[in-house]
Amino acid sequence: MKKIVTMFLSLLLLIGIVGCTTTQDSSSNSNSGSEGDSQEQSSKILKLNNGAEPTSFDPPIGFDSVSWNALNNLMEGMTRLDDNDEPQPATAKEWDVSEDGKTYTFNIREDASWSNGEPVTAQDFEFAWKRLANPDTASPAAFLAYFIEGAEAYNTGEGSAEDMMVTAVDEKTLEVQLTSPVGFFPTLISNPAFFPVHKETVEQNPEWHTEADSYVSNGPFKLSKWTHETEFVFEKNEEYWDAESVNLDEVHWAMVDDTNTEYQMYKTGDLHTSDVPADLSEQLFDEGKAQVEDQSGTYFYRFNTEMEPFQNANIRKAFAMAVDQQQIVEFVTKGQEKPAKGFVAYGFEDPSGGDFREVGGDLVSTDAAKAKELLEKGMEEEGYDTLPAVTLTYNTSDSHKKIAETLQQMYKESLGVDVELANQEWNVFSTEQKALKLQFSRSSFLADYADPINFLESFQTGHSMNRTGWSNDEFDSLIEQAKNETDEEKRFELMHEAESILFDEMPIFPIHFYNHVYLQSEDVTGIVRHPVGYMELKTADIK
Amino acid sequence: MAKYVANRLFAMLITLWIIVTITFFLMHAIPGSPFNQERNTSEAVQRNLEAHYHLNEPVFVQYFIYLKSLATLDFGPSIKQSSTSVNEMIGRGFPVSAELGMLSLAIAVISGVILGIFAALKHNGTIDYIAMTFAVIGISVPNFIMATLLIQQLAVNWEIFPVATWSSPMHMVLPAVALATGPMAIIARLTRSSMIEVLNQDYILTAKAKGMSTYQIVIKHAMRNALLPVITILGTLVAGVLTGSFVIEKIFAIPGMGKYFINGINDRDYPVIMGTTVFYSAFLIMMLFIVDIAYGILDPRIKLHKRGN
Amino acid sequence: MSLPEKTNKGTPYTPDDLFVPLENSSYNVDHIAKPSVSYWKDAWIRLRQNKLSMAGLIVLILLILMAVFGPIISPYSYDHQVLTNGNQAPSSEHWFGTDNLGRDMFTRTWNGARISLFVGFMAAFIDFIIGVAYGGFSGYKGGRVDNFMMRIIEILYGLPYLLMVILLMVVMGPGLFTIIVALTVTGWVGMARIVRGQVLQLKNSEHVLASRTFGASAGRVIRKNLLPNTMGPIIVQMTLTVPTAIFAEAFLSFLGLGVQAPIASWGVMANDGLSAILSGHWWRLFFPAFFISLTMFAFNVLGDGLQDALDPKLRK
Repeated sequence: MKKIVTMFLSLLLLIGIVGCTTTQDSSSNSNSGSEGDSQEQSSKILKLNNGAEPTSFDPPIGFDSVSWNALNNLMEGMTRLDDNDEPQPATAKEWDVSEDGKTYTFNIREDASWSNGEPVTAQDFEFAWKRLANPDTASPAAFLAYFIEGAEAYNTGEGSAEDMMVTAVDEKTLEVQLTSPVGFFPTLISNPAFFPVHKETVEQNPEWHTEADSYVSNGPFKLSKWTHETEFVFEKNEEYWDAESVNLDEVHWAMVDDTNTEYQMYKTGDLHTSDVPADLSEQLFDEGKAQVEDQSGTYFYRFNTEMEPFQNANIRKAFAMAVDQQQIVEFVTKGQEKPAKGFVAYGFEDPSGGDFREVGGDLVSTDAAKAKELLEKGMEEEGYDTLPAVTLTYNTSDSHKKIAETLQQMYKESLGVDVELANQEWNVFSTEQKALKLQFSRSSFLADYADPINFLESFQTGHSMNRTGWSNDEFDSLIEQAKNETDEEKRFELMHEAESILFDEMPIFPIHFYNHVYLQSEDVTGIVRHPVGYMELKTADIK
Repeated sequence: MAKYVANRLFAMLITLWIIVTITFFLMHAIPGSPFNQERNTSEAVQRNLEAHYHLNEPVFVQYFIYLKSLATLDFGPSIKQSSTSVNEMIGRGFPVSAELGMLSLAIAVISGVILGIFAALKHNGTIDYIAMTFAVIGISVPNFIMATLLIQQLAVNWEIFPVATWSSPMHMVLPAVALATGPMAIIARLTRSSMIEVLNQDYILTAKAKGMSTYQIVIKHAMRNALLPVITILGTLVAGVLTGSFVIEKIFAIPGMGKYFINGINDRDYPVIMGTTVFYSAFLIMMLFIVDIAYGILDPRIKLHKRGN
Repeated sequence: MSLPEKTNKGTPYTPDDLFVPLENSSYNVDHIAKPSVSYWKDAWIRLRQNKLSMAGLIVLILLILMAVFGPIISPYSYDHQVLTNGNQAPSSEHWFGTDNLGRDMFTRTWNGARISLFVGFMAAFIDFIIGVAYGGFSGYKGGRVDNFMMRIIEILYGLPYLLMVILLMVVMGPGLFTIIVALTVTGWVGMARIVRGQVLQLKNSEHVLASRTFGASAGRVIRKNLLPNTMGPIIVQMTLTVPTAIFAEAFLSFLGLGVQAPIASWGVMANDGLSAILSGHWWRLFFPAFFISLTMFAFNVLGDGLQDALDPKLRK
């Protein structure tokens, strides 16, 4: 027996040795990259997590945060948002607006240049913006260009590129005509969809954006290394017109998809910032470690107004008023979100300096007794003796489940209604919600551009974000009027009016406004996270 | 034998074609679209996208287009990451998954077989109980819990290993161990049970009577027969482990194949679903075939190439 | 010379009537002292002698009893939230603590046991029935039939499971029955392959040949000769199916199949509790994970005992 034991022990040892030596072999090849890093220890390297492989670094294609958060620092549009989320001249030195607010003329700065040393021209912008609207590009963000005269027609195949009213007057001047006086146009074009591309490179090599070698950018950083699905590295772009303001030498982006892992990497110093795992937020807030930044978006629920019993406005209102947003935020999500009592998020200033949400006030209140009353009234109107069965559907995720379970209990307690819960795989859920097959479902909205109208236009009749079957002529006309209104004060009035109609009818009800909870190393400063827009590293610094 | 192999290879092609066909229609039957987004996208944009990827054509037409490109082993471009072809994805992901898989399989097979044999030799003894307790824990703690615990203890608290990502051999240890525990436990149990059975066979008793040492009996006589059930499951295990484990890849941020496959399904990225499925199935069928051949070689009682009883 | 003369000479005469023929019925030279016991009864007798296995059996029974009565004896309901009372550590009030929504973990654990145990046992049972029948038949028949049947298994292995499950959920809607279908639709193939492998190995052994020579039907040979000798690997495979099914159920819940929140099975609870390890709310992972392991352990030691008890070669 002893023999066997010694035999196996030595075998184990052997395996161990073999294992170690083979791993050592591979270490000598695969580690060459990190050796290079350690030589430049004095340089400032920021370590971030991108979550996943970017969908694409081609501006009109990568319409998601995993692409655009990084892209926002590789490229630069005409404008760039400052610390207060206001658009500042970037590639454009300045711009003029015509009397009617419909024509914008941009002057590009002389020293704006691409990472290959060539100057950024108005032709690059014209090319890029027409490319965004080109149906052959098949850009999911193309609708953002619809503010430009002729873009929608071009995108839907009814017009041509020539009719899209964006023209390079000369090498450094770009003229754009809009469909309506869009006051927030300078903010809108800070969006990565409107970034320029280097025309020559794109025309010569359609695959230019897939590898670091061929990538040409005009922003604070350039793409120096891209190991697909593993990491990519930014280097300071010396050709950038404002290179002096850029403090970081390199940014390393990992692709870690798991929040627990991300947090653990943050703990061991492999990352400088991290999201907060759901169960830890309370604790980290208590310890004062977690930080929070507003995000312009709303977590809400949609009623299907074409399905019983939610064709009835009073029943919808009853279901909305039975919900206690404050409790959900305090005990369930625990992320210090602001409870939502309206649809438009905080952070939009009207001409007199008031915040849109604060001026609009609470449009839905928590009131169990009133809710019960409304439910009875609604049931009477519809002639129900018993309420038809209600199923609340959410797409699978722990956080959605928690909220759904809480709602279920709230309905039981304040309305005496037993709501069934159902969860679905995301893609199925999304398809069924759009097809109006769900009775009562979880939803979210994140603003694409920083204006209340972006929130409110969602519920126009037949809008692709409507998804409730709800239609109201007065609401539709108010939105149309607001879009064409040049007087800001009046425009805000119209939008307030529209929002109150939305809440009179209650095809949706809000839960909370989004925010971004994160941890950040104390050595890091100057990372800007905008409520609408993408991460800003231009002025970031590290000790 | 040659004829048997030729027959099997032909059957493989047929099997693969059936899998391709069923998968193709299955994935088009489930609701969803690669362009589904929670956020706003206009209908015109949606139509442009669909036209771009021929998704507006009838499914049958799409099927024949796909078969045609498959005949040239071209899996087409991914819809989600439009600049990457599915061939590229497999080319990137498979080596990583295979490396991780081989490592954890080696751990699983070696430690599993050793545990199993020890347990069988000491049937109902202390070693048996310890080994089997170990095995039970290995089976009943799923790898995502195992992985999180390993990271928390060994990487965060003790800082022996890095937390995640895939860049050096040290990075491979934790995921390989986390991935190996389940299969190891299965192999240990299977080895033990068939070993116990074999050790009670007459020819082992004869060998014992002849005065052979335990070690000789185990190596020369018992192991060969006892490992047959292990080999049976090895085929599917190898295919499963080498083509990637989504959960482990996600937790450790490993750029392997499992991620492509699952994300492909979640995104309804049709070419990715098809490409990874075809690759996985071909690999798996090949493995099962190899197992059958190995069976014939290891077990003199089984004659595969003879037809009938 | 005559016979009587001869007898008179030496040997005493024994008259014929002293020879009494034995009655056929009492002809039992091969009489067995022990009463004859059936295969199953013998297995049970031998199982009872295995203390560890009996302990496993008792634990399983206790778990089942707790699943039935646990939620009833608890003063809390599994879905009642007390939001202000979330994440409480185990105490005399809440034996297993509370979860993030302030629900009693004790009640939830035993409520979850109902689903997990049911799903685990059902899956193991159905896999066993289909797998043994399919694998046994395929291996016994051999040749073309075997070849064909194995190709079908390969197809089932090769099809993307996730797609099948999503389709199942869309077609059948959520529910326990859908879960069982989803778990068994491909679950049995592992069992079938193992049984087939064993049968291939055994079908040419002497006792099978003997049985066939006496004209036993295929079914009888499989049942009486092949299966008992394959029991070891089969039981191991079954013990593996139980935890796999319990966790697969958690995965299926993720796709929206199966029981809907607020009911949670052990697998779902373990999933939810995962990030609670980081925040120190260990009880949210520990209890579901512990009972899954306990079930497993009990099932395993019982399986080991059963394996020994059912193996005809070990019969005394």
